[in-house]
Parts: sequence; structure tokens; C-alpha cells
Amino acid sequence: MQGVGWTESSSDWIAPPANTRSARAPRTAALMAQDISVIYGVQKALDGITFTLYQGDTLGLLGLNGAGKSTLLKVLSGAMAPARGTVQIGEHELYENTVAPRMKIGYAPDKPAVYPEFKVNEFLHFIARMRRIDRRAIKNSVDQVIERCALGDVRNRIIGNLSTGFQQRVNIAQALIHSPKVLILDEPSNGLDPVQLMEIRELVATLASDQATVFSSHLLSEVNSICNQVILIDKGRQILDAPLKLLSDERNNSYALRLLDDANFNLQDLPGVTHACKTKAGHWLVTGNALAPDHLQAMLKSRDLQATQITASENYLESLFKQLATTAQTNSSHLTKDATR
Amino acid sequence: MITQITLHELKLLVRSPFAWLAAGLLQLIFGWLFLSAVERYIQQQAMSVVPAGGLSNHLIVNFLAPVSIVFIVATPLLCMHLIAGDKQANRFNFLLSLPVTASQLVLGKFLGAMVFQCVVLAIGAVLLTILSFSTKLDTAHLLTAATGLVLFISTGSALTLFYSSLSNRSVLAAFLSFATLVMLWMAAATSANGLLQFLSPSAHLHSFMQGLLDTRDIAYFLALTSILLTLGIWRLDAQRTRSRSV
Repeated sequence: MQGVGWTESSSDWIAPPANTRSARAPRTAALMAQDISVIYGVQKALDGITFTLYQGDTLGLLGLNGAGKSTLLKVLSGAMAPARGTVQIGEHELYENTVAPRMKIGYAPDKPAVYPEFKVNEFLHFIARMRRIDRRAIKNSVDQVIERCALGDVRNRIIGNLSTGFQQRVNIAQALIHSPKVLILDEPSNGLDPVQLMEIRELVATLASDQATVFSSHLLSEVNSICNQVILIDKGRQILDAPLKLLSDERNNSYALRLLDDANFNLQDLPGVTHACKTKAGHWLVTGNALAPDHLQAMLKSRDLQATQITASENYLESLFKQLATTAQTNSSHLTKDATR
Repeated sequence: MITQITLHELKLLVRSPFAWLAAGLLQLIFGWLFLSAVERYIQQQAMSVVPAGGLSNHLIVNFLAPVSIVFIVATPLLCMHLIAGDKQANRFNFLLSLPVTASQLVLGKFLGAMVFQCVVLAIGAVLLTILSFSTKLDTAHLLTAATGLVLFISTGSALTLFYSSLSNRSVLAAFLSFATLVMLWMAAATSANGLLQFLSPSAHLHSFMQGLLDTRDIAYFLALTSILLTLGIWRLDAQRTRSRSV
């Protein structure tokens, strides 16, 4: 899929809020990823990911399993240097300085990075020391994060004996203990029951105001309910980067288009189109404020493009995500057929 | 920071049933070796054969020297988890995301394992202390041999840590380390000259067991341990600093 979308001016360190795009109160960029590419052998796991995140923003990283979400989060957390590109945390380049930028990052991997033989309290004290919190402030920081993550009842229990939900809370607590500027959560709702899922979502939502949060998920509903900015990744490529408000505006109309000979045309340039994405050759999804099929048809004609089909879509992001899933399913069934032959 | 990581590694070892089992088994082996050595000395004395070098030398040959062979097995087993264990438990990427340098991580883990093994060795040495109350022992000779043992263990630990940084499986790291140490020990035992003999930690332990503090042997152990630790640090830094291709 080819991504065409709204992008922040990457060279700006001060920019308007992602959700409003107004110039009311300038905010400082907390994280700036530029042209991130990761190569595993000959396969590109990530290809040219670029985005900027501001303090107070919650970025939802959406993608199917294997799209490259976890790899991107490893790069953003400082655990894996990219083959190309830079990650700027505040004023520091992440891979040119080991300590300073990492002090501003809180990273909770998809599988809780805990020591099962330790007690919750003891583990958090160890992490506080590793995060270079001042010796006198450690107890206070641990108490605060235990209260914030509702771990008070289990603070003296061995982590290995806790439920998955509580282990995930401990995982988030260790990422929060030093009040990081950038919080990176890799599928924090993995393996949780519905009640735990709601609790974790509430927790993440309450954290969002204090720092820039990157939150990966393969669940659209989760991103919709927590985030204000969304990036959609498919096979390592960024196919969408937009404020969620822009995509879910009630006045927006979305359409699936089938075009003849669209090779050298970008529908993003059409007047009234807020976002456009080419899902496969000749297939497009477009969204825009008060966009009507007749108007769309007329605009396409004026650019010598012919639409063979224009179908209204309920929700742009949902339609885009469904398209991704369908394409992935088709590819995998082709592969299965080829393998059984 | 290194102290924090060292203490953490020690705590992990103290809470590991496997480490307790290994430590218990080592004490049993030490006890058996010690009693056999003392019994043999008493038998020789009864036959009016006085071993050359007296009791201290006899204990070094029949107790401390075999202990070094025991550590060829024990060190890989006790150190195999140092980095590979974190990889297996999905904690490795998390550790790399912490504001800690690769050298702090490697040195902290290495020192944690070293302290644990030295404590196990020190408990074994209690037997010698008890014996020293009833007979006169050559303390300087025994301490020199013990120093050699500690240096030998440090090289084995650094080697296992390096293999642990290369592998995702603890058992593989232990096997590679064990195989390397056995090969080098055999090179020393067969008294073959050449590179293997020069590289063999067992060959360089010999002078310590004879009560000699040879600076060349000390330099060998320190240099080899430093090289192996540096390789481990490079391995960890590689993921953080350069293009990753698997």
C-alpha cells in the first residue's frame, strides 16, 4: 500500500498541537523519528518511518501482526539501532548518546520485562536505581507509581505469582517510575481479560496528559478510544499518519474508489480531500469534509481520471484497516494454495 | 551503576534453585576431595612416606588442583544465563532501553557471577581453615593457589558471558564454554607445545599451584578476561549502534 497523508513539518521543533493544527499554543516536540528503516537480512522490516510526537499527544501505532510495530517501538526505545534514520528525544539523538535520551524514555515491552522471582516493591526499587532516580527520591517514586498503577495490594507479592493483568501493570509501572517525557507501550492489553483490558485502557488514558505516549495495538477500537494521533503501518511502511480527529470528523465522508489508469496521480491533491490512500493498483480510499460522489466524479474527470466505482464507506480508518486485513488474508491464502500444490 | 547490577545479579543467583543446587553439589565435591586428600596423606604418613612439600603441597595437588577442573563444569553452568537468560525471558531489549552503558551491564553481570563463585569457593576453603587449627599449613602457598583459582574462574566466567552474549540459548552458551575450557585443559594436560598450550588457562594455573606468583601468568589471566569482557561489551553495543541484519 502506498501512503499519502498529513505529515508534520519534521524540521520544526515547535509546532501546533497534533489534534487541532491551530497555532494557539506552541508545544515542544518530545520525539522525532526521521526516515527509520530496519533491515533483517534482505527483508526490510521498516521502511522510511517519519513522524513527530508532542508532549501530551497519544500516538496509536496500528498495524496487523507482523507489520513492524514492535520493531519500530524497539527502535524508538533505544534497544535497536535502525539501519537508517534518526530518533530525536528532546534535544538528544538517541543513538549518539547512551544515557541522556534513555533517561527520558519509559518502555514497556509486549511481554512484561519483569523478574518473576522478585517482589513488586523490590523490582520497582531496582528499576528506579537503573533509571538513575536520586537515591533520596526512590521511595517516593516507587510509592507514587504503585498508587498510580493500583499495585498497593500486591506490592509485597512475588511477581511470578501475580495474574497476567497485574504483571502488565508492573510492566507499565516500571516504565513510568521516572516520569518519562516519552512513554512507549507495546500492546499493553495483550493477553488480558475484558475487565483488565478496560483497567489498562483507563490507566493509559490517564497517563496521556503528562507525557508523549506511543501505544501500539492491532485493535482499532483501542486506538480510537485512547489516542489523538494515528499511524498505520503495513509491511514496514507507513501508510497513514494523521490526527484521529481529522479522520473521525462527523462531517467527513469516505469513499472507496476504483480508477482506471491512476499510475501517476495522487488523489491527496484533490480539493476537499483530507486524506487519500492507495490500497492496491487502481483502488483508493479517500476522505474529506462534506465530500460528495458527484463532486468527486467531477474532480476526477477534470484531471482526466475515470472512476469505475465509487462506494461510500462508514469510517475511513476502519475501511483502511479492513482493506489491509483483507489484502493480508488474500496474500496468505495464495501462499497456502501455492504451498499445497 | 555497576554495583547495582552486581547486587541484582547476586540476588537473582541467590533466588535461583539451580544456583543453590549447584552450590550444594560443589560443597559436596569439595568435601569429598578434601577428605580424600587428607586421608591419603595420613595413609602415606602411616607408611612412613612423607610427600614432598608437606601437607600444604599435598592439599594443593589433591584438593585445589582438582577443584579447578570442577569449575570447568561449574562456571559455564553458573554463568550461562548472564545475558542469554535475559534474551530468553524477553528482557534483553528492555535492558538495552535503560540508561545504562553496555560496559556497565557486562561488568555488573560478570562481577555478580564472580562474587557468587568466590563465596562458594570461600565456603570450601573453610575446610582448610579448620585444618589449620590442628596442623601448620603453608598459608602463603595456599593463598597463591587460591588466587590462581580465582583468576581461572574469572577467565571461565568472562568466556561464558561472551558466549552468552552471542547466543539466545543459555544451554548453548554453557556447552560452548565448557567445550572450549575442556579443549584448552586437554591442551595443557597433554603438554603439547604451541598456541593452544599458550592459550590454555589450565597451563597458566600451574605456576600458582606451585606457589609461584608469576607476573606473566597474572598478566595472561587479566588480559584474557579483559579481552573476553570487551568482546561481550562490543556484542551488546553492536545492537545499539549499528545496522541490524540477522
